Amino acid sequence: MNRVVLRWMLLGLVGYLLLPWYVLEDGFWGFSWLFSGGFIFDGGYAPAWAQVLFFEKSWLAPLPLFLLLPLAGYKRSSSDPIFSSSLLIAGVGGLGCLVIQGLSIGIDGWEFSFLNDLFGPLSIRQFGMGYGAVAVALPFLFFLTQGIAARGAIRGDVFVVGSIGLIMALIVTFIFFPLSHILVSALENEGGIFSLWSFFDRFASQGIWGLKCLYGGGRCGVAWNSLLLALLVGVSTTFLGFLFALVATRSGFKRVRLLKSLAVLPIITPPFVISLSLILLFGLSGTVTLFISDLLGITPSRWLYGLPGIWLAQVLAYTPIAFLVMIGVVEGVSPSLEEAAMTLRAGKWKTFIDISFPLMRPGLANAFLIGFIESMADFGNPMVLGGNYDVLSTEIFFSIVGSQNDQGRAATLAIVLLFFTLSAFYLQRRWLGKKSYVTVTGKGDSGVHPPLPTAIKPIIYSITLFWLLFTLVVYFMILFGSFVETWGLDNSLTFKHYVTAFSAGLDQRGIYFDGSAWNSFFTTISIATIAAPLTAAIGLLTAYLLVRQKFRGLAIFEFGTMLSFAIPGTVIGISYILAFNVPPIELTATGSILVLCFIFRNMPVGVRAGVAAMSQLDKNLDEASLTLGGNSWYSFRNIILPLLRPAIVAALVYSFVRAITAISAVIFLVSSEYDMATSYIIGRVENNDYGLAIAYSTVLIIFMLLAVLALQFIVGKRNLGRRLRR
Amino acid sequence: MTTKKIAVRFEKVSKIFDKDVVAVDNVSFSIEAGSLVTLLGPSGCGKTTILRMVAGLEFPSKGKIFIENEDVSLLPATKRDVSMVFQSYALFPHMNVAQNVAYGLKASSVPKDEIDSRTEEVLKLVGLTGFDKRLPSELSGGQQQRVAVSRALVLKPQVLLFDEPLSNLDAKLRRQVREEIRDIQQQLHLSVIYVTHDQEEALAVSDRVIVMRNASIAQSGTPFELYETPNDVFVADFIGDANLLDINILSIKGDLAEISLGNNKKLTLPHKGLVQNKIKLAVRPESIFLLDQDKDAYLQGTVAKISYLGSHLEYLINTKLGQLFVKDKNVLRPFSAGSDVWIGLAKHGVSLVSL
Ligand SMILES: Nc1ncnc2c1ncn2[C@@H]1O[C@H](COP(=O)(O)OP(=O)(O)O)[C@@H](O)[C@H]1O
Ligand SMILES: [Mg+2]
Repeated sequence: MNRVVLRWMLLGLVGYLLLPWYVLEDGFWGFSWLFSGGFIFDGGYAPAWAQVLFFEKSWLAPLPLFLLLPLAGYKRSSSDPIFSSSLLIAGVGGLGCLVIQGLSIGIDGWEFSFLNDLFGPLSIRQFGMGYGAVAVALPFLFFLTQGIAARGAIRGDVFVVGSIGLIMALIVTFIFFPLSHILVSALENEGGIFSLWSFFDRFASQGIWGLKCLYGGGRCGVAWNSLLLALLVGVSTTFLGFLFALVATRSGFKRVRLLKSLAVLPIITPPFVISLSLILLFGLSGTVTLFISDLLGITPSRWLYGLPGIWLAQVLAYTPIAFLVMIGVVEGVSPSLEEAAMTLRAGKWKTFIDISFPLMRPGLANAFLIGFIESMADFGNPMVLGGNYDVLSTEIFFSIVGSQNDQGRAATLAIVLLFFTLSAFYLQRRWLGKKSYVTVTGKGDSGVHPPLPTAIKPIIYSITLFWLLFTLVVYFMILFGSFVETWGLDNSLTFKHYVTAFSAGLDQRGIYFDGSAWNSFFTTISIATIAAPLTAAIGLLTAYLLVRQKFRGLAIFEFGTMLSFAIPGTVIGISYILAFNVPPIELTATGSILVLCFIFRNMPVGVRAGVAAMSQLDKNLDEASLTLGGNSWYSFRNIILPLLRPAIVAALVYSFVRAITAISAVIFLVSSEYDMATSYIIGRVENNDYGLAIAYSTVLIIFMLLAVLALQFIVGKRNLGRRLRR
Repeated sequence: MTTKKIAVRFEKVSKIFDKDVVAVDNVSFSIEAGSLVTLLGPSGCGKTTILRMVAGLEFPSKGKIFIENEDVSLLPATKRDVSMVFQSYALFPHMNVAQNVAYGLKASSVPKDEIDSRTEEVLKLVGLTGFDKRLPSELSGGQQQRVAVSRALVLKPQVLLFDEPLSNLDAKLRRQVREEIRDIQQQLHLSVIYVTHDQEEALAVSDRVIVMRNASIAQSGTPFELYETPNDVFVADFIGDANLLDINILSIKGDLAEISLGNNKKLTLPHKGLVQNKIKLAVRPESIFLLDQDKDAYLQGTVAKISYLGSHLEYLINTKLGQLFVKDKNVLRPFSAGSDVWIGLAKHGVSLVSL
């Protein structure tokens, strides 16, 4: 028994005796209960013991028993079986109690019909867990991990076992638990009864898998639409990324750094911005459209709205990512192999076909799968340019927010989407998991890559140059478009949109912000500011466990943490509203749900940054600290964290930036009180208020560019593309 | 003679990584307090793993580890009174010399004044007074090494571990630093386990040497015992590059065996219970005389190759028992390549070893 256990026990008792057990009506930061005097006698505010005594919540009665159980190990050493057993029983029992009561008793009494049959109807209702419940759950988790550590797991290291337990609990609660709700919703019929039949009925529907478009008349199912789009985008981005990588490494091109820094664009661009710019160029009143119709007399058409438009937007958006993946691969092919082939009298062309290209193939597959996943998961571009071409991610959104409000259908679509992305994710991991035969030999490999065969040089140059110019025009249009009155109709220059969105002033009451965008802007910044450090902390802690610790289940642990790369935001969004709309965890329409969503969506960014940085830290450093008598927590704080400072800053900035540009999950989770910049912009687009949408986007892009530049300034010119190399 | 205190004891310890990599196989030994014991063996034979188990950075898969008679098999590194000097030094790059040395004291909450005085004292001991504000990156390799040693020393550990401490130093410095380590060890009566793959280094600094092969102990003893009476061909070859010759046992009298190298001159040596067919004769290169006549010779051969190394000559001699490697101090009158020579043997550096 030690002081730490006592301290946790104390926290648990405070949670049980003093804090309001259930979630508060006035939100997480509402403190009115503190001042309401007799909060103990108010069912909404009362702590657990009062809930038991006065409000018939008898199922909360056993909790103190488990909280106090570790006292059985009082004054015993941590190797004593009584010490570890009492902790294990307390942890498992307490957590079990909390989870079981939370899942089985909800707003309308019993949550499961078999419980109703078993115990008869229950008239008492309960709400989501609040401060009290959280303060009680944490000690139980700690008891459990301390008990496991006392049994000798991971050299009895309390900090490490505790961290593993905490991260696992978080992943289960905020990734697997919500995902399981999708399954449940997909398997329920309209009446909320479990029914495999209704799942198959929905799953097999024409809307998803129909093939009418092939044999005339009608549209194809959304699954086919998404698949076709993702395949096209995957192939196109890989092809273009490959060409750019060849130009960057094998043409004597000197500005590789500049080219690489362009790849930062998709990170700081909200996903739908490209679409907006394409509308300015190719929409009905787009510049190019008008020019061509004047010139050739072709009537403007809506060709942009549909597959061609989404494809174009996504290829523009994701080619930089493919480029970053491919440049690593193309550079990785050891020049000495190519030189060896040339000295064996193979020509440039033969060397390229026989040696270089086969070595790059795994990288190509990787780039393709990344493009595929990004396209599948993209929500912003299809939302803006979709027209009649429905894809899974937008269809999920419309089946839940529109007049349909069909959770079952949304959940079924989400499962289909998840199936596609997880398959791609699985293939990618399998491919990369196998021993790669790309050789990065590092030192002593001082050869130079042979230049491109002369025959294909002009083709490659013209394609890449054209695409580069196109990309620049697209970004320029965003900036320019924000200063134009009404694009295509009234091309006079104006600051109107900025004024509408961001006007502010000073009067006798102080500074006021009366622009329409300020509200969502401030919300976005503050939510991103809260989420970023939490994301970085959880990501780096996870990275530490992955790189520095060995334990059973490490592979599963890693899989769990990396999984959210492959879960489209739309799926996360829908799973969060399905799961966190009802007890035991009620979060909808709060700021917390946005923060949590960002943490778990962006966690892999922090993990990647941490893993990359930590693998470069000599393991002997923390071992030296251990042998000098610092425990693992002391070593983590004093050795690892200070040495990881660049990775920490990078993780912070990226999770901040990604929280600002996110749209797909966010659009499900915003509320009137917590509106986010991206969803506000999408709203403007739906009202055809392009000027304001573009002006707002420009401000966001510049804001994030500054953030990233500040990062570069702080960290030095570290590889900005690291997050993209999965 | 009173039995000395035992600092570290391994009892049938095995370490198995990833289910099938046996890094340490059923190893038992004990180390007297105040002595310097070397683990010597080729790379990959499990030396570092043994050291890490003493430090508590790895736990044994089987068997028990005792430090001063306390079973520490499952005690984590933090709680053991053992310090380690890593091969890479593992100096904390973001801390200066003084902070590095004080780190362990701080972690165990020693009062500030005491930290300062002990840090100063130990830096003086290794000759780094005045360097306390430097960062590790601003030090030479030898100085970094001293910082690593003083960081470990300052805690006055029960056992001090060195993992190939000289491997990052250039040849000149190695001899000097190893003498310094030995001096400090003697001066402070430290119990030290020292890992190296360099046999000369091992012989030079150790009270005892434990020679390892393939995850287990091949032989242990004082440097003299190991050099003069290696047990088997592996030890004989690894320490001092012995020539290993096939021989015949003619007769056995008590502890001694009479053997021949093929001609009628006999040689009598302790047989250590070894039997014919599982035996070789180990002969140190410097225990072979080259003679220009067949009187007192055991063998005849021809010079195949000769190299001049300043202090001595090295010959390769072809004989009917195979090629012999010979070091000869007589640099003034060398035998020329191709000439016939006769082989004589010295009294020491010749022993029977098992296969
Ligand atoms: N953490 C580990 N995981 C798997 N195998 C290991 C690990 N550490 C060491 N080994 C293996 O154990 C054997 C002994 O390694 P080591 O003790 O480092 O040898 P030495 O220090 O004598 O060179 C080697 O074959 C090595 O590959
Ligand atoms: Mg080693």
